[in-house]
Amino acid sequence: MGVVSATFCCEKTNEDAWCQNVDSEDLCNTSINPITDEGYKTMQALCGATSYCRIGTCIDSNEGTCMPSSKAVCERDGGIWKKESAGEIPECNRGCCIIGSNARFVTQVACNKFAETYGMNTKFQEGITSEAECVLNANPEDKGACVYEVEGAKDCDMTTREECNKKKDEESLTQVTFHEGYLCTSNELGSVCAKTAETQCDDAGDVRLIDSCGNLANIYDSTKINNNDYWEKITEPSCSNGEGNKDSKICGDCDYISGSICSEKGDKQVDYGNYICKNLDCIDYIGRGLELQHPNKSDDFYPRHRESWCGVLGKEGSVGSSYFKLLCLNGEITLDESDSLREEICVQEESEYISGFYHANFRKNYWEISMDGTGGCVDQKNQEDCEDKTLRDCVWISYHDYSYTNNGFLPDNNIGGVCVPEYPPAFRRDNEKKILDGELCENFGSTSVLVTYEKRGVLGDLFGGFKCKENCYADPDSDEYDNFAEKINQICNSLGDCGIKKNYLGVDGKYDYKDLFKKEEYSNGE
Amino acid sequence: MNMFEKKMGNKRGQVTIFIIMGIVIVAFTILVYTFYPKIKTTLGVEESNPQSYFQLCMEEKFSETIAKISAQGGSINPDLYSSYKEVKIGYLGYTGEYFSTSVVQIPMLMQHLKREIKEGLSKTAIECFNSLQESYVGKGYGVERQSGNERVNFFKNKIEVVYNYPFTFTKGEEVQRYDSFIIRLNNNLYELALIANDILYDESTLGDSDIEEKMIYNPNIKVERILKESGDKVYIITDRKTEDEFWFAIRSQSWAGGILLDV
Repeated sequence: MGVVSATFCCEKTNEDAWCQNVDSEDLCNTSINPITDEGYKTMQALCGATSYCRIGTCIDSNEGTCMPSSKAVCERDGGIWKKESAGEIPECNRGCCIIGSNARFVTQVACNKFAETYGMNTKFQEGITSEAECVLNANPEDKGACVYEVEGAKDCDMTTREECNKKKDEESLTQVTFHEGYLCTSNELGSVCAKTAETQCDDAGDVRLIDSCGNLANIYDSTKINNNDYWEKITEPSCSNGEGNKDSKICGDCDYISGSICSEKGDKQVDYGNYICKNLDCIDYIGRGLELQHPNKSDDFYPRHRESWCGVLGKEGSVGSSYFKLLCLNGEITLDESDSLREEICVQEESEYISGFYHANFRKNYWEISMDGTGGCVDQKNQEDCEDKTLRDCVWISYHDYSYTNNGFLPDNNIGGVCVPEYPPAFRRDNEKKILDGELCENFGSTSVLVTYEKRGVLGDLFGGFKCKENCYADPDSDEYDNFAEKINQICNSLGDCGIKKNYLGVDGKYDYKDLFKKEEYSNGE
Repeated sequence: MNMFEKKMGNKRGQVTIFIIMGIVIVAFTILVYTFYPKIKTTLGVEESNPQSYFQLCMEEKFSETIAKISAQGGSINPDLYSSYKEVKIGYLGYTGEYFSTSVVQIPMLMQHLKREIKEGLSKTAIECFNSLQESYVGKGYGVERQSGNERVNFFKNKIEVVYNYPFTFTKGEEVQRYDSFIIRLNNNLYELALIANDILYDESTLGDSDIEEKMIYNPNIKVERILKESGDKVYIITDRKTEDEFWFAIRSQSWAGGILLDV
């Protein structure tokens, strides 16, 4: 489908897409809608103005989800449609849902649903407004030791008060008591659970010691393993180095944000147990090429967990080239490719807090239109406006007295340069590989420079001698010509996949510099 | 023929027998592994328990259906799809316009998945129930069955389909009644679909989704995004532990290239 000059709203198109603006009624499906027993609707209007396709919110009352949706699509699937956006609907308000030691930012109904799905109690905290806040500020329920007698033995589970109270209903258990903040190994409680030197991963990704009953105890700290107090109550870890204790032999206080998570120790050494705070940095990727485009070129460099940086496939701006964001996560580097039209570019910046740590992201290539919605590169008439990086991604190429107009590249004595995209866009192609966009390039390509010549003198007629009189820089025999051709090609290249250009593999295109200009001769006496 | 030749002749005979026996054992092993579930039922191992019989009968189709749904954007036969690696990946969000965010095509993904699973299994379920009935009739049981409904439940790392199709088997004084049959599959489709829903929400409101953020808040999940020349985005969500995957496509915010705007 090409660029749509939207005038009709199809409830369903012939391609089976729902609620689309199209430029011809013929593209709308007019068969019978099996749900309504009426034909699918079509109206000469934008979908936002129709009753059936305007976007509101579709509520799934079973799952507790709220999704921006048209009425037609929502009701097709049995949802409840409201014309307001999710933020204006009370039942769509999200909060923090605590599921064990995990947290999710969802609606109250979704949170209740999780209880069923995950088979555990959930707790909904209102007033939390983002996923980040939810994950960071979630307050899991108070935990402690749940002691009970079973067949005469004093057993113990580490659990919540609520879960412990449920055990009181079990006939086989007696003397059920909850001891908030205590560990099952506490001497005070006298349960059968004893300390061990074994470890395990908890849900939060930390390494914890376990007792002989299999309960998780405090976060692993090998220096305290023989300390009785350490096995009495739930305590905050004191062994942390503040950087996630990557591959630490002694401390299990892992930190995913810093780049570590509990994992089997593998060939690494630990003082006790089989688990370690695994280093999630991309150490193994050094020398494998993926880090090459990273701005940090120091010898001991390796991409760190959560670090991202920009890369480009092929030479920047070459035909078929595209931008990449490379991300190191969990010890693996993943590539996120931008669009091959280069309408998005990758930008990276160094962290304010961690030296040499970069973060990259894609953003729109502001060459066609500026960030404030005003003019793009071709509309700029001076270098200062052209290269205003707060507004647009353009560069000024000064050469003779040429400038753009809506009709192409024409002489203009007052400007003295051209404003072109800093990151050359590419052209779309249709299914037959025909270029769809290229007006800018074509306009520029159709520009002609009139070079005038005059006879050398009286002998000119005899020896065919003419000398250049005006615009001689465009005369192939002039000294300026190579410079002119290169400059013109540079402008061509900046406008898209135009001019003499290599592709992303470094292969030359079909034409070379001699094909750049077509010479047409006019004889009018000069 | 001397003694040596006789011995060698005997040995050659023994070797031939061993080779034949070897081939027979290997062939038998291959047959057992190839037709294991069928052989089991034919041998009557599972038929004594209708629940196990049904699970076994449905197992292959269940796995196949979930694999198909997971690879095709949640649909068995997506109407609107983007082709990638010869797979029809259903669009969860789509727009034919440039400079527009996508229009959500499947606003209730969980309900949609449940419907697709039911639909994908319906034919096989009937065949399995028929086969169960035939098997018991063959063993001299009277079988009474009623039509019913089915329900799909998602759990963490598990999908369950409950068929409320009551069966009563009678033979003399013996009466066995089964009100429902349950099949289960270890698969984390539910959590993957939750992430897909979040991405769809972002794409339909912002025209993009921060996949890095999704991975940081869900350390066990990997999200990959592939951009096609058409402007389609193919998302692949993977559970790092189970390696279950969910693929879907979005067409959203495709910026047109090289177009002069009248500004």
